[in-house]
Amino acid sequence: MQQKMKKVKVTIQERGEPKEIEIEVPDDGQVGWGDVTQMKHIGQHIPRLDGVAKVTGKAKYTYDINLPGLLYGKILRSAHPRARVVKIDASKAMARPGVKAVLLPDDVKGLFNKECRYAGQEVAAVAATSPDIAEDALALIDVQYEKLPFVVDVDDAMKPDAAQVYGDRKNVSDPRVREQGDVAAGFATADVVVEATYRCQVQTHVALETHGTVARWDGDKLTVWASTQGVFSVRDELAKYFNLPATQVRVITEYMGGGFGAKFGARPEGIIAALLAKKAGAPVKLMLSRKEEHLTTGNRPSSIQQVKIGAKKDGTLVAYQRSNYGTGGVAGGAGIPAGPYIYAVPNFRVEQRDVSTNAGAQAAQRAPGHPQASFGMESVMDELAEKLGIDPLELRKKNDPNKTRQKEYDIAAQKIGWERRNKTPGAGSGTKKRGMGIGSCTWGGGGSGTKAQVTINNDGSVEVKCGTQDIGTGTKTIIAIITAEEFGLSPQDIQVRIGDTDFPPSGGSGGSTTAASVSPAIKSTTMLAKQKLFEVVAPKLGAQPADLVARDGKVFVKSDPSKSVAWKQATAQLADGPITIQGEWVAGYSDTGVAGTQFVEVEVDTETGHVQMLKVVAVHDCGLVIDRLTAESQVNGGVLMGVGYALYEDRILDSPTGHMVNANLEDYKVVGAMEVPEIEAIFYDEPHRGVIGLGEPPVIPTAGAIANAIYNACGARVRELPITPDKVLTALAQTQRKEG
Amino acid sequence: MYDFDYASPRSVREAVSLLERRGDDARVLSGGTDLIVQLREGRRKAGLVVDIKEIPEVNDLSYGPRQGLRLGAAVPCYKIYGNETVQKLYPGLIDAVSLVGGIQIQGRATVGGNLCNASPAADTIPPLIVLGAACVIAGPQGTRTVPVEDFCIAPGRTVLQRGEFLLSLRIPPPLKNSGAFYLRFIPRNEMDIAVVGAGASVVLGKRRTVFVSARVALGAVAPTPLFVREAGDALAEKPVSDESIQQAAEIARAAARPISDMRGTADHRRHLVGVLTRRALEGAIRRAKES
Repeated sequence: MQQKMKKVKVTIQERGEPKEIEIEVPDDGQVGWGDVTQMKHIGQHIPRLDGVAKVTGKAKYTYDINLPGLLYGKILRSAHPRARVVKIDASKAMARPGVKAVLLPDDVKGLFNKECRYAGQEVAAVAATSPDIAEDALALIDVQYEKLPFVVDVDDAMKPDAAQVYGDRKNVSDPRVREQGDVAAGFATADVVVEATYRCQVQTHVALETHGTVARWDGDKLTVWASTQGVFSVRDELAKYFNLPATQVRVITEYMGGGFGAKFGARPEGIIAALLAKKAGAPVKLMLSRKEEHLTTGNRPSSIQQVKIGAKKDGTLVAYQRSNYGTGGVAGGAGIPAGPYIYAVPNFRVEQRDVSTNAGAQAAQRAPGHPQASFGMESVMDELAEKLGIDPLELRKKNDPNKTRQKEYDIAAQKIGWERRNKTPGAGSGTKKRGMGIGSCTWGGGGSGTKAQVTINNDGSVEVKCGTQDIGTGTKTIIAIITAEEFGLSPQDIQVRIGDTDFPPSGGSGGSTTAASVSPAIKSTTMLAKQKLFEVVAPKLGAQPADLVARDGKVFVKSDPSKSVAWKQATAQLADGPITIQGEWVAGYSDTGVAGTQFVEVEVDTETGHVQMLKVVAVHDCGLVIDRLTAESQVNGGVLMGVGYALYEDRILDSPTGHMVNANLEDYKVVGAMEVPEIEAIFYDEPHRGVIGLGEPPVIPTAGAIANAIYNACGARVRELPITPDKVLTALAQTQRKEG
Repeated sequence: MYDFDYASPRSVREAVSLLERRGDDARVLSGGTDLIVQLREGRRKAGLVVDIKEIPEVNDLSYGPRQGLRLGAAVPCYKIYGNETVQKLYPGLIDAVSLVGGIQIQGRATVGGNLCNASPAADTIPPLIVLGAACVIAGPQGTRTVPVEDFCIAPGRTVLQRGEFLLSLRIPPPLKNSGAFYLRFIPRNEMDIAVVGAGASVVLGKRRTVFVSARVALGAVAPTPLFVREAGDALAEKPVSDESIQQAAEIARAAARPISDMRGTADHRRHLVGVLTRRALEGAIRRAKES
């Protein structure tokens, strides 16, 4: 029989640029999750099951893995933003007692490049009996560099006489253009036009746990503990590099402390760890430092958007034009979604240019491209609303084609008290002024391709194995919740084992796809296992398997609940031994495409420029919410990352030296506890759509909403992130000059 | 981090003799929140680390109505803001010690260490200056006393000579109708290094409508914490008014010599000096009136 198919939209990365594509997936006509009002665990606030293990230190992260005879690996990195390694002498390092292995550029193929294109690029590596000795050994490696011209500033890099990052191509890519309708004709019909330039900085990922690997060889078998978002991608890359069958490489990630898009594949430091372990004949732990993390493991590219937008008097958008350029450093594009972000404009033209600079390569970061696009779009929408004399909320509602977001606007406006806002920006007396702003988002977040195995033992215990990984989002907990719901047990009763390539395969945790990939696989597998159990139990209850229900720790006949057996009695009847079922992702339990909006309130000290976040109302849809508590955590985390992006975080490269001057957490400022506003996470529940990812959306609209709230508070329009106090004051002074 | 020797002398004499013998190769440790980080990052070198915490005098925290406050160099911030006498008599000092680092840092970090680290942005130095504090320095020739405003001579450098270390601080007892206040500007709300810091102290007349005297000191706007004597002097005998406060703030603004760096531009810093000086004076006046 031919499998029925249906089309779904998913977001993929193409040349570093997010792109929405349509794919076909099997449509088995499933009815989905059923009546959510009858559910005991799904949709409730359930604390994550491994929370206690994490806060007590019992949970073992890659950093915590200690093995007999363990060595410590460290990487020597280019001291210059652009240089050629002319000579490298490691004899002193090798002679240092405690040093067990040294890797030099000529020792290994395709790993180190003698052409160093940014300060921090891998040059050599050592393994030693202690981290201090390893550090010492790095200092003993004598490298002679031929220093070459470099450029780290994106605008400098675009100048005709700029140093070339790559000899064989220009720093600036040819523009990628997307057009719809007739822009010139559109602007000709506009009553009001706004033109402005918006700038976003480079943001680094700053996962709490740095990148790192522990590698151990047992003959030709390689076992690796990695802080990764995709155990299978690490396995496949290592297997390929070492020319091993996939069966000879095992990757384990039981716990990991965040990745935000920068932890896929083995990466250079993973391969180096395995190479050092092989050379030294001993296991090697190689964890990056915070400085290395900032320099080399990825970042969100910058964005400079020259925007022009036109509207009719009534606020109807008629034309939009945008030229965006940004830098992803030595590799990767700086693209943002190619069109007017979330609003419908009949005529538009957008151009994208990527600029190479001598800086660490970009990597996907929580909603790649979207926060930049959202900041530019939401800012210009506000400027347009003011010029039109229309309430910014009304302008959005008029031009937003998304039906879900239309409802979310009303919820958010009511929750924050939109009518309380300054009707005239900067109105009111006193030095501290309050204001509100809006930002909105869209994302894909669909799932696919996950397998799982469920075992029901005779003693009633249940184990689920799935080769996904919990990157801090609560994956382990939602697996237990779905299993418990299906079997009528408690989430605590379920033994969940994840983060191991020995388990049934699952994809990487990126693009907000994990929940939508894993949940359907667990649902379908547990349904199959339950069916097996019912087949055994049904005859004893004088019923058909289809008549049985598992609930509250019992299996009973639906029409006559008095005919029941306790779960453990039921499983004791498994004469052929435990039930073990392998299942996989099926369509019908997940969906793709979400909408969200965030309204924020801030207070600005107009004498110092200090911005205090007061409140964020975040309304998002993510289909069926499996665990409301972990979903709220996703919103909290996304909002806070967005606050950091809006107000504090900035990778500062010093143009004369080419070095990052704030490669730490002292001067690279992330949000701390005292900066956390009241965050109200509200879910626009759409359980009939099934599970949809939520990890990325909440970061997207935050910066735009904050910029607009600052303007509403004090009348200072800051068009450049991060919105630091001096920029607020400069903008305020300009406003006052205009008025005066 | 490389290896170093560690000594924990029990007496001033023992400490002085160690420091004299090892000279620049020795570093004094109290809380260690600056020193250990600097050693780890290679920003300072030390062959010998002299932990002074076992010396009784450096742990002294006592008050007498005549002598004022004796604050040992190794008393951590949390002990200072946990002390009821200091809370009552020196709220301007409490302002500073409760915003150094974060809670955990305050458990270790000391005012003495903050002073000896000699950062232009050190939070405790402007309030010490406006409180008229003096440094008691122990050395091979016995002890000597130096006003806090003369203690730092350059970023990271102090008047301490070979064999010397900071023993304690002396803060005179508060006068009648006086008050002090310290505040700083940071982009976040805690755990940042001051972009600008401003401390002020005032002594008001009996009716509290006139300034008898005032002192103003600034942080992060010069190579060392800056005592702006003329800003305080300008207030003497002036009425307590917005106008006179603004005048003093203007003098402080003009006296600041800020630079632009990644933490703030010179223009922004200079502007903040005006705002913060005014706010510090207002805070000090409020306290003087409440005293």
